[in-house]
Order: sequence, then C-alpha cells, then structure tokens
Amino acid sequence: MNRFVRKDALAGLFLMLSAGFFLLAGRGLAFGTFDMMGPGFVPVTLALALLALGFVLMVGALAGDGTGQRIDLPPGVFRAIAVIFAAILAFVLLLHPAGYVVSVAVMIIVAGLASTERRLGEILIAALLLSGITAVVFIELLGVPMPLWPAVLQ
Amino acid sequence: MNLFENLALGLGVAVTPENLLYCLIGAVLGTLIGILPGLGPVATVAMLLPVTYALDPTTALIMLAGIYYGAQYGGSTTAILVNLPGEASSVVTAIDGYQMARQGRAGQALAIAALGSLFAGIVGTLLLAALAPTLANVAIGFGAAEYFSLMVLGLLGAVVLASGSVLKAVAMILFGLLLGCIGTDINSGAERYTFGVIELSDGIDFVVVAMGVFGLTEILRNVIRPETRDLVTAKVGGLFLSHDDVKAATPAVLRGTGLGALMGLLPGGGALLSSFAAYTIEKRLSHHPERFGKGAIEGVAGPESANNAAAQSSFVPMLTLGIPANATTALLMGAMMIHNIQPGPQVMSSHPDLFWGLIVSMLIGNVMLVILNLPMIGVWVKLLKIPYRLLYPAILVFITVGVFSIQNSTFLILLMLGFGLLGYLLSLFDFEPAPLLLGFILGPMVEDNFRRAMLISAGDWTTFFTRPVSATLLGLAALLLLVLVLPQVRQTREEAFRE
Repeated sequence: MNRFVRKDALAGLFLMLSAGFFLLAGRGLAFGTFDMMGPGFVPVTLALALLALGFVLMVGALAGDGTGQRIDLPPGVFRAIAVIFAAILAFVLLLHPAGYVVSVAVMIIVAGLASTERRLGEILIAALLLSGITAVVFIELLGVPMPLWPAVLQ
Repeated sequence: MNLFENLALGLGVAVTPENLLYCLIGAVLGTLIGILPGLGPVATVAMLLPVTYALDPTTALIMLAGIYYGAQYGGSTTAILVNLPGEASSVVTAIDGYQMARQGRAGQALAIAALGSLFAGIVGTLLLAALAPTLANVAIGFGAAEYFSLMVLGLLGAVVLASGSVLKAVAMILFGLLLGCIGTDINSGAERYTFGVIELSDGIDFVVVAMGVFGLTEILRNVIRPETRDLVTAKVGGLFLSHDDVKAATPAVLRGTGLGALMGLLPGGGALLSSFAAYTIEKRLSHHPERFGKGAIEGVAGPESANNAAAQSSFVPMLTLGIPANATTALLMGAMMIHNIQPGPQVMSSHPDLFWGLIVSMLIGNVMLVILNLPMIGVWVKLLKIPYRLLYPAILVFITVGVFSIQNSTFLILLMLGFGLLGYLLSLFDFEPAPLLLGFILGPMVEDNFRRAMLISAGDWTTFFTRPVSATLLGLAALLLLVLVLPQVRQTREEAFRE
C-alpha cells in the first residue's frame, strides 16, 4: 500500500489543512498581547496547536509499518452520499416555490433511492404518509413558518 | 432547606399534570429511539430542542432528560432480542443478553436489565440530590481562572474516556474549540470567520453541529450497509426471575450502580464507558468467567445498571458547575440557555423549582420506564421490525425541519449538510465526534474565562497556578495527562475498549 494513503497520514494532512484554513482566514484578526488579547489570540493559538498535532499524526503514520491503516470505504458509498445530498438540496430549493408537502415528498423519494435495499412502492407510500403527518405536526401544531402548498395555488 | 423539604418542593413541581405528561412523552420517546438502531439520544434531543421553545423551561428539561435516560432502557431491548446495540451504551449488553435470549431466557434478560436500571436510576438520582448542593456551594466562589481550569480538566477527562487514540481525541477537541470561535468575538466585537454571512455572526448554533455530525453522518454511514436483523424470537416468554437469577444478579447490580454513578460524574464519562467497565469487572470477579459470552445474567445486570446510574449522575456536573459531562448533557445545557437560564452553581438557588422538579421527575420517569419496558414489551418488539430503509427518510425529515426552525432559515440546512460531510470524513479517519461537540460547546466559555482571567491578572498567566483552587484543578489535569502516557495504563485502557 502506498504510504501516503495510510489512514493516519491522510488524517494528519486533513488536520493540517483545517488548521491552515483557520490561520489563513484569521490572518486579519489582531493577535494582541497577554494583557490585551485581540480577537485572533485564541483561534491562532488553537490552530497552531492543531497544525502541530496533524504533523505528528502524519509523520507517525508515514514512519510506521502501516498495519491497520487502510481506510474502510464501502463500495457505493459516494453514490449514496450524493443521493442523500441531492435529496436535502431538493428540499431546500423546492421549499419556497413548491411548499412543504411537495418538497418533503420529493426529499423522501430521492433519499429513499440511496438505500441498497430500496423498494419503490414502499418509498412512495412512506413519502405520502410522512409528508402528510409531519405537515400537520410541524406546521399546523408547532407553527414552523413554512409554506404548506405551492406558491402558485395561493 | 434540608433534602426532604427540597424533594417535597420538587414533588410539587413534578406531579402537575403537564409535567407528568411530558415526563411520560420523554420516557416513551427515549425508549423508542433506544430501541431503533441508528438514532441516538444526541440527535433526538437536538431535533426536539426547537420544539421545546414554547414550553416552560422546567417542563422542557423534564422531557429532554427523560429521552436521555429512557434511551438506556430501550437500548437493552434491541441488544437482547436482536444482538444489535439500539444504543451505543448497550453494546456489551448484547454479548450475554442475546445468548440468554437464544436459550429462551429473553424475558429474564429483559427483566433484569429493566429492574437493574430502575435500582441504578433511583440511586443515581438520589446521589445527584445529595451531592449537588455541596458541589454548588464550592463552585459559587469560582472566578474566571477557576472556571478555565475546571474546563481544561473537563476536556482532558473527555480525552481519557474517549475510546480511540488520545492524539486524535485531543485533535477533535481543538477542532471543536476552533469551530466555537466562529462568530462575533464578545470582547472586541470583531467578526471571526463569518465571511460576511449574517447567519454566522452569532456563531454556529450547536444544534446544527450536533445534527450534522451525529444525525446526518449516522445516516451516511448506515444507508449502504446491508441490514441483517435476526429477531431471536417474537415471543419474549416469562419475565419472572428465579431465585438463582436474583442471587447471581444482585451483586452485579450493586457493583454496576456504584461504578456507573461514579463514572457518570467524570467529564466525558457517562453511560457508554461505564457499561464497558462494569462488564469487564463482572467478568474479572466471577468464579466462572467462562460463562460470560454464553448467557451469564451478571453480564446483563452489571452493564445495564451502570449505564443508567451514569446517565443520572452525569447531570451533576452540568447542573452544579455548568459544565456538561458529555454530548447529551451539553445539549440539555443548551436547552437551559435557550430559556435564559445560565447553567451553573446559581441554578439551585435561583430556580429551585426547576432543579428539584427535574430530580423528582427522574425518579418518576424511571418507574414509568419499567412499566413501559416490561409489561408493554410486546409493543416495542413490533417496532423492531421496522427496517432501516424506512427509518432514515423519516429521520432526515426531522433533521431538516428541526434545523430550519432554529432561525427559520434554509442556510442552516446547508450548513448542517456541510457538518454531515465533515462528520463522515472524520469517521473515515477514526476521529470521534463526541469530543468535537464537547469542545465546540465549551469553546466560547473557555475563551471567555481565559481572557477574563488574563485581563484581571493584567496579562500574568501565572494566575492559573497561584490561585489554589485553579492550581489544584490544573494539577489534576496534568495528572490525567501523565496517566495517559504511562504505558501500563495505556495497555489496560486499550484492553477495556477491546472487550
């Protein structure tokens, strides 16, 4: 196995990149002094510590013998993640033009396709029941301010 | 006021029809999510927080607390009947519980799990009632330096008790603390990492983070796993324990309760870890350790008592010091802040009705849970037949609507999507989400107290070491860190998590 795809090497790299983001995006924040700390003092200190930890983790993994360092990526996982994301995005985009009932039903149907054990009939029934019941609970009973029906109908 | 007067005051609050109803709702919901795999108390409490805006704060806390300890009851049912942990803290219950069920003793396993939990729950709650006033009295004199040191100790405690690598747990805490910096800096008013987005200027709501890294990540991890649920039997059989069962289980219940009650007090402790520890201890102490893994009743009684005792006693640091012991109590603390109640030692004196009402409701809730989980077990067994492929779309609906309702903004849904992806990425690298959430929630408090202490001491950082209480707390933290790097301790710690 390539040294650089070891789990902890990538984990360390990820921490360093995250720390780098906080350092870079926070470079405009004043650091200040011990008796007058600026807004940048705490985040910059934390990010430097995270950077160091990520470095230690990465070096340790590169130097080790690499046992137990394979990343467990089940087949089809990216497709499933993409489908779930599409479902939530559809809900966000549809909510105002199409209303709660339609957008939740779409979200459930799309999300239902992510499962390896999907059954279309089941998903459709679930979409119908869940959108109806949750519409009553959330919007009618709890008063969450979302449009119930498509804008064109109102 | 003495303990009995306090409990009497609490009783008056807890038995109003409304509070009894919400206590029952919490217990039912807790059992439900405990039974359903893939939905834990953190995500559920986060989902329901927006719902509680409209409730009286005492009522809201009674319900949310019921979800947490109710989940400990429900989780054991799934562990025993399906060999799946309905709740993370019932992982070890499955080992012997499922074997008992296969031997036709499912009823006995369920009975000892519920009765052990009831005993542990009552003891844990009474411990909370007895300890809290003393602890709060100590904490009331704390200044910024003491609070900072206490939080450092708490965060390090979370590292010791996290199950994976120490380095990774520390990294997650730092990551959480950094995420907590996002928003307007309270001291200078400067915007940090907001990129001009209005929704970020008050910081990211912790519900968004919790729903992302606990709720959504869990869906992403489970959705492609083929599901095998072997319901061992649709019939539970007799619930009555024989004389031998009682004799074998009683010491295990007592030990589990004691262990759980103590471990729940520790920061980062709580239900999960104490159940592991209880199982290990029962196995070590047994004259017949070979029976473990083959249906030993002690292997169910010990961990189940421990996890429930810990669930109760983990309320102590949250209610008396304002420092959450784990992710769930951190969310409950958030619920208090939503209702403008600053968690900390002053809660007991400024809101005695809330404090004692909550405690008495826990006693009532535990009794409700035994009734819900033993005579009515048949209802819950039916729920076990709901497959995950139907469950996760429903969870998704609750998560998205819940996140939306925090600020009535779809931007938060997108933000939650980001945290879901972050959580999945972190899980690939074996990072745990719990220390991240704890760091995130404590972050602003840590920074505020650190900067205030430094301001008071005019930039002299030795203030943390010259004030006696602060120095003691930091000394304890250093001791923890030292213990962690000792090879011997590391070994036993790894052993405990492997079992």
